[in-house]
Amino acid sequence: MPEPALKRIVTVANRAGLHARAAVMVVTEARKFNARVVIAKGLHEVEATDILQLMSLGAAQGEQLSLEGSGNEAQVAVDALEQLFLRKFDED
Amino acid sequence: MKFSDFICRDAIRANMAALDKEGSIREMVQALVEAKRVNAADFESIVKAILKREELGSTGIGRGVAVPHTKHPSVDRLIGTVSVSPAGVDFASLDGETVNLFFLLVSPPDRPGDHLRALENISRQLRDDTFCHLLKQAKLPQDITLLLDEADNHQFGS
Repeated sequence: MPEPALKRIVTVANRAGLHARAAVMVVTEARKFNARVVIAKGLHEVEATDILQLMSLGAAQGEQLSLEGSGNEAQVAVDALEQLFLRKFDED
Repeated sequence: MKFSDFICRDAIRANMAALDKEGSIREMVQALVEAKRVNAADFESIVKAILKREELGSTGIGRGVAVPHTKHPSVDRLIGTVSVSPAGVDFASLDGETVNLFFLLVSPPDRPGDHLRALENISRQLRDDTFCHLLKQAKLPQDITLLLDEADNHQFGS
């Protein structure tokens, strides 16, 4: 039986939004874990490990995204990605 | 946002000569000067700002693409250009590959939303492998312009 997916809602808090450097941080973090994390803005779902897909979300300050993890390390992966958003990608 | 909203057609180049990061950025900013979208007096300042941003982490995002950029007070709206390097440039990209396709952006300091929407458009269009491949194969600026126009008219991807 596959693990149930783990879902978390985050808000893009940094002023610049999910721009190139922030997207690189997400990708770098997501690749550390044995998990698949899907990030969605509304119905637009992308892989957390794909920078082109992430930037194509155009996620701006104040917008909400969902992080949905699956796999062995889903919990830690989603926690780690949530921290990036909470830390505002070390900006502002 | 469409390519035509921010890409300066007269600054598009298909024959980048530089083989290193600084040289490639200089060529692209020089193209913006030649297209009269940037004052010659601001050239060095813009180049330095873009290089400083690269120090925070390469904008070489993989798949042979880079999006060097900066905020700069000399522009009153987002401007950008596209360059193709037939030989490839060592850009310290995420995936270690050389870069053949550049989108360079300069935006006013207080318009992060426009920059984000330009990145959104570029990355969405580049998800289409055909579009990305054809751009890298472009031999003339007109080829690039045509491809960007087709992308603006939804000929590629979603």
